[in-house]
Amino acid sequence: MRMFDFPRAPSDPAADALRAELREFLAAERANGGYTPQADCWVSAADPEFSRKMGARGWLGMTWPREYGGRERPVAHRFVVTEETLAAGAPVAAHWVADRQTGSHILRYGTEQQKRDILPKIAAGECYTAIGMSEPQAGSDLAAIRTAARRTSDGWVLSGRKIWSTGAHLAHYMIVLARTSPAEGRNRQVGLSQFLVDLSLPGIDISGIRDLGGTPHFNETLFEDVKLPADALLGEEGNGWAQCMGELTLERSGPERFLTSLSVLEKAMPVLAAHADDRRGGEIGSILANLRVLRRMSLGIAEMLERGESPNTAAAVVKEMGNRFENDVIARLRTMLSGIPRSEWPDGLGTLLRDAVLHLPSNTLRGGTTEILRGIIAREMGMR
Amino acid sequence: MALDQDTLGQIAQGLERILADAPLEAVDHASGQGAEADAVWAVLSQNGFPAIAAGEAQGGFGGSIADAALLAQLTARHALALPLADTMLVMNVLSQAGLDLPQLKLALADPVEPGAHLAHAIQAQAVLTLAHGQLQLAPLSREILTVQERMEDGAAALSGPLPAPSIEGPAPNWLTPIGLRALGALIRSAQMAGAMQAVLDLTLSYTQEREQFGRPLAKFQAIQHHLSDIACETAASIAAVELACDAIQAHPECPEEGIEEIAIAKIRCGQAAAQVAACAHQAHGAMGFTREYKLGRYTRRLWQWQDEFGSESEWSVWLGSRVLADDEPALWPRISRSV
Ligand SMILES: Cc1cc2nc3c(=O)[nH]c(=O)nc-3n(C[C@H](O)[C@H](O)[C@H](O)COP(=O)(O)OP(=O)(O)OC[C@H]3O[C@@H](n4cnc5c(N)ncnc54)[C@H](O)[C@@H]3O)c2cc1C
Repeated sequence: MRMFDFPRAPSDPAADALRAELREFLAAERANGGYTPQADCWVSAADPEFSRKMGARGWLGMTWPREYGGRERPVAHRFVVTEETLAAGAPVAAHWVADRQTGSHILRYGTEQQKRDILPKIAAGECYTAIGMSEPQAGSDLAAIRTAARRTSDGWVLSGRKIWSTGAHLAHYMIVLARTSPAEGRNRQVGLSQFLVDLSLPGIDISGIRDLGGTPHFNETLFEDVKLPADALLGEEGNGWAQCMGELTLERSGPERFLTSLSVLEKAMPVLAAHADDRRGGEIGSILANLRVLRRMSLGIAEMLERGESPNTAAAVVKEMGNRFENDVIARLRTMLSGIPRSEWPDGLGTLLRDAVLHLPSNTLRGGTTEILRGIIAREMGMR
Repeated sequence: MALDQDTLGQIAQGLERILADAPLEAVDHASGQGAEADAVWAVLSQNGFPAIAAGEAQGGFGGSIADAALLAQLTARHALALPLADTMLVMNVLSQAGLDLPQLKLALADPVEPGAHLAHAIQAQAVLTLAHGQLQLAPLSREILTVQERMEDGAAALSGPLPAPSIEGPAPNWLTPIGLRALGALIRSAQMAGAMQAVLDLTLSYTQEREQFGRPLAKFQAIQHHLSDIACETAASIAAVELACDAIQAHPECPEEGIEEIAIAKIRCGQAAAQVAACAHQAHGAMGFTREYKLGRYTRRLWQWQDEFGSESEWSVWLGSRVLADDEPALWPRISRSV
């Protein structure tokens, strides 16, 4: 069955060299106060200056053609950059979505002009994007969206409301899924299209929503008769659903689905070591085993992407297991810390842990809930 | 020492054919003893499987431990009630030590916990032990064994001292007790991964056939979620075994890094086995709880293999304690280590 196939990535000295470069860069940034590690950094820690530094080193848009600002490097190299920055809790949220999915989507479906205008800026760490899929009445049931675009003589008019868009308040563009023609009876997946929307256009109102921890990281975006140029249509009219599923594969497939809490654990390691016993050793061994295997699978997905495959079920498998495991990790960390006086905790651990706890519920929701992912896996097995 | 991928693939196909044709359910019911079991073993032996991972100079086929693990996975998928996996492993070890290869069914004693039950004891004709740097292969007979009730594949406890070894010699320097235990753990991990694949197939077809409330069980979302969990855990187990096999292939002399990768496999497969068995039994209802129905042939072994050559808890403590004992204890260097 396809979901068991996580191909090996060939060994690659260039990737090892890149890893060493990243570790050096991240250590230097930490040392000079460039950032303090954060849990859930790819969603919560946005720092345009840091993004520009990464862009300058050639670590964004790495797989894209050079003519669009890319470096033509294999997917495995991008994987190194993402996993190293995640493990280090670096402030990568500003560029994350653009580098992960929007850029590749523009590369695949955008006009020549869009590619020339936007991709080099993303690769430079200067242009950020947001995902416009969910709506108030359309979450898991994405095909229930009501945002609609109407064709005019010289373009489109977009009206509706998107919600939960991470980082929209910082973003320059949003890919919006909208209805362009009615559903055909019960088949609601037809008649949907994707639009690349410049968020500075008139008629767009973005308002922040504070998350559980109080950070305004996601947003509601209102589109009131927004006039879009004709080329804002991304890809084919009516092909929005299929394109969106492709985007979701990119969204789900990376190591951020199991590494969001690692920086908290690492912070705790010295004090756990100082109080090492079988109980704590056992938890650490089990956590290491789970993360090592999740990463092996995730590398396999990167390899599938490199081969031009579209590993949607494999991505669902890793995200589903990874998300659930992450929630478990924090519970285990609390167990391991029990009995160690607070006065011995490393500086900042308490805040990091609290932060991680407050982010936990989102892991198994964003990018497709546990229940939806299990449904995808069951479908692959022919159960539905 | 390793077979190339094409050869290994052909060998695996050959084994698959033999296993698919053999009366394995009957062999299992007879605990791997009697005429039918002997006949199946004879076919396996004629085709060279017991010595597949032994050196060519000693009459083996030059396979590696990783090759043996792949084939062990296959035998577990078929719930083969014979000690082929352990025989392949013991032959490999004997051959690496430059010792003679006997034409026998072989068992391996856990070198770290000699008091543990001996897997395949009743089925096997000799057992390999490692103590004080010395490998010894001693004959097994019923007189010195106490059968372990309700265990699979003729597991038994030693009730008396082993007789004088028929083959013995110094273990290679790198083959420490924990290293040999790890090789056993790798084989068990592979077997667990194989059995889980069978459990998945079985549970999928059972829930698609059986109907309640006018529709197949498979149409209920709660059942789909059980199957999804089984699939995910199985996928993780296969990946864990591959990772360990790659490590041992790259460093055949089982250095500590290699043992760590095997520990990871045994931990992950052991954890997965618990969840897979629980979900599969839940989805099967009472039918799965019978001796007769075949699910138990796999789940009983899963529960047994979890404990053999170190349980997931033991290996977790071993692995985690090593991490915590580092000068700068951290997880990421190990998570991201290249094989
Ligand atoms: C932190 C965060 C960031 C996000 N960022 C973005 C973003 O950038 N862009 C964007 O478009 N969206 C974003 N989302 C939205 C996210 O995609 C949705 O939350 C998700 O798809 C679930 O939709 P919902 O929240 O409306 O929950 P609902 O769909 O209402 O689901 C509620 C519960 O019911 C369950 N459920 C729903 N349908 C079924 C079913 N058929 N069978 C079984 N159970 C079911 C769900 O699994 C869930 O447990 C974000 C969400 C979070 C939490």
